[in-house]
Amino acid sequence: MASRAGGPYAGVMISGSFGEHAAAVALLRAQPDGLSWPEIAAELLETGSAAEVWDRHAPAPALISLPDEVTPDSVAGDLQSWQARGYRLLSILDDDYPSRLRGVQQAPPVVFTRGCVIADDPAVSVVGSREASAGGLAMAADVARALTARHMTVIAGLARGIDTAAHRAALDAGGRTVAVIGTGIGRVYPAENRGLQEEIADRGLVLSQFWPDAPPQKHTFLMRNATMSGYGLATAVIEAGETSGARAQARMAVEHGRQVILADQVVARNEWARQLVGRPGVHTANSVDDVMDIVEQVVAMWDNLGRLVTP
Amino acid sequence: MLSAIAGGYLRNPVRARQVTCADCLTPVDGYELCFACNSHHAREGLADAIAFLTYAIAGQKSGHVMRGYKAPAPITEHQQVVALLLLVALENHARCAEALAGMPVTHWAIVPSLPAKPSAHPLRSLVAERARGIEVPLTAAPSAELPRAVNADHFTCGAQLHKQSHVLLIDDTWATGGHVQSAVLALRKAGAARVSVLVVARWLKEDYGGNRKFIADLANRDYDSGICPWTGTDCP
Repeated sequence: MASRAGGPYAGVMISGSFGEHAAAVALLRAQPDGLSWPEIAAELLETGSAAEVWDRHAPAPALISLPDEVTPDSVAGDLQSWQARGYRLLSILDDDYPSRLRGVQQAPPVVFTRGCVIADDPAVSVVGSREASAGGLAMAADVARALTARHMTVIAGLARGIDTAAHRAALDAGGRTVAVIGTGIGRVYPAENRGLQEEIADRGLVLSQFWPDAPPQKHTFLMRNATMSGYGLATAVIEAGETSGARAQARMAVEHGRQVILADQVVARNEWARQLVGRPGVHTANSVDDVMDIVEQVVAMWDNLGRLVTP
Repeated sequence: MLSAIAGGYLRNPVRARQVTCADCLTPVDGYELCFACNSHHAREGLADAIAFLTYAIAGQKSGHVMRGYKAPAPITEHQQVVALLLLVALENHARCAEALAGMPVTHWAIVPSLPAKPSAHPLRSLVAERARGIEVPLTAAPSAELPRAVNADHFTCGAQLHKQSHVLLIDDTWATGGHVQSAVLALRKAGAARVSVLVVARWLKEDYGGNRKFIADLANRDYDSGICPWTGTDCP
């Protein structure tokens, strides 16, 4: 890539995957030509190179180098400090980037991870209310254990309630769980789940699409739900009300071509869920066995498609 | 299976007079043809019939799929969805093109990238296994001053076609139709009697004309692979 000499990290070699990451971060920081993050992600996929996209859009260098000018060189220090803090940066062009996530239009251009990245991760989201009933929490844990027994990964969002029950049960059963969080990877929300986040970073994967120090905000949770839907094969909604993130995730999953599994309680109690029933890929389940039968069908469907269509 | 994995975002193109263009099915405001198709019609010998499998909407998953399937590092899911769309169309609706024409399909061709690219077209291997008839090789010009204009010289046909020839011409994405119609004219020059065009996706952008409302109205119209892409309703 075109390295601009003279920056504070001019001694650092900006090339290879480090250079690609630096170019991707510079693009997202500078947003040249007013590019939005989804537009940047689309251009990265279209060209196959962040350095090329940077060169295409890079603002002409100022005559006098400004202290706050964003370039691939100027972000090199951030990349190094993230690395020193144990955060791994993956761009949408990296082989290790979650492969299913790349297929949805809200695929983040970069993600930060702690833990074990598996590109082809057979995973299902287990989501629902923060204020869940004892029955809901039990079902979330049962579904997480059943997925673990099937050697599948449990995705949840580190929230209170259903998410926590699903993460906890997967970990306790020796399974793999992925926490897709609505804050930067250097933060925790809610604070009470700090220990759980650390445990998942040690034994599973914590993934964030925001800058490492980004605080929780309403829109970040919605974006996080899109990522959860995209990452997995299906979204199982265990218990949810009229205004939950689970509701938004179920709608987005339909728009992503992902399967949605609605617990019958969710359908019984919510008009939005009844409206989803009958739409493509939407299933209802009244037991953990039902959920797992649907999961088996989904896995078989993608296996068949892989055989039918060898890319 | 197509419905389960993509029915939530693929959208059957709408065939309704003066609501969508009679040729390319983009929204029109009371006209028979959109501006681009209307200007193409100054030429003789355009496509005899055009089928579209889905709309691809910029910024939505359908648009993402039509880009991603042919990205430098193609997205597997997108390749699978495009392949399945074509497979369903070739298996269930190839005969519809024959019924409309009153003659069997004898040849098939793919609209190459313009200007020419060194790599094989991403649709070619998919279609080669499943299309009826023999391939008509089309080659794109190395450069084109106005690539979107309708110009038979943009493509050369590597075969001479007989009088009863009916070519099924396949393209992935229709934006203005210039590429496809130029390829049709090149096939005519080679002697094609009938050219039926099968396009995977009609590209739509929200920020154009009345598209925003048209696209919003498609939101809950989930994909029905039983709808004939040649007629917009039942098979002919």
